[in-house]
Amino acid sequence: MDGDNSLTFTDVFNEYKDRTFDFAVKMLGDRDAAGDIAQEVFVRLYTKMTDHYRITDIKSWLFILTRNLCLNKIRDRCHEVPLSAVSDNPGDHSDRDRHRQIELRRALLALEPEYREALILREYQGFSYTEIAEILGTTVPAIRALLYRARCRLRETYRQTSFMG
Amino acid sequence: MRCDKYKEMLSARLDGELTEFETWELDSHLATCPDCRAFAAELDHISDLNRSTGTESLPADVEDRIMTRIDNAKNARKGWRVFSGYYRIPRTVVWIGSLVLAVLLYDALSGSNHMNTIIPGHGDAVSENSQTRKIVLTEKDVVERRVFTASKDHL
Repeated sequence: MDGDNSLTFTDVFNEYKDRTFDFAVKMLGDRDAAGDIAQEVFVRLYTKMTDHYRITDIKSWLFILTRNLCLNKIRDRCHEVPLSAVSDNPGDHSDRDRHRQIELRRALLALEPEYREALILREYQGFSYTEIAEILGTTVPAIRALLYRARCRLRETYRQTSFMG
Repeated sequence: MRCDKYKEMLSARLDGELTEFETWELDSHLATCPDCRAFAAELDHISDLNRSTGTESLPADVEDRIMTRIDNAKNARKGWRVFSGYYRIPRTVVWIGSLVLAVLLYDALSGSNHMNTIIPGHGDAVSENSQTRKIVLTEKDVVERRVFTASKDHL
């Protein structure tokens, strides 16, 4: 799909609308704010495509833009995690698992944005180290070290807020 | 400190980013280090929980809002076909063209003002026609004009 100039806006929208929104929800813990960001991202994409702006890798472009808008939002409002947002999508699990997932998402939202974005891109979005490095504008070895530090931090935070500790 | 290297490897192993040699090195270490084995179990548990969490879908109302904004953008662009679509004029060309036009216009206007300020050498009276036609001064006119200016300065 990447670099394919024959793609229409609708193709890209249908392919990435949920992933982009999911990334923003997990970054912000706020579905309303994530909806605003998804809106901004796709309107900008439409404008670029109608202007025949050459986007070589649409997937990276979308996630770079979503990430930047999320970071702006976090900076603007000294982000506080709305607790209602983290329990919205429990999935099909037992009560115990569900509770653990909620605790984990709270721990994730309590991380510094640079750790959070790396973990979300890897764990939830399934990006490779190379793709994450491109989105975050760094190198593969740096991503490997960053993910290790992020996991250590997540483990500590999760321990403090769950049954594990 | 020694275990940090292996803990980082454990994190990379979760992501399938270890080389064959690193995998062998890590397995050898894990066989002798209970602390790293405990760390590995905890990382696995957290990663399983993370990956089993459902993904969020874009709500229908947000999708509607996006489509409305895109329709508005489409309609707004219909009136500006010259600047968009396959037959558009590149913006750079439009800017350069505007700049050239502005320079020509300025030149034309300042040129006509300049014509008005020329005082013909034959007398100081400026006829109506002299404002609109080009005046060619001869060498004699220039000499006479210099004499005229010098005598004025002298006074």
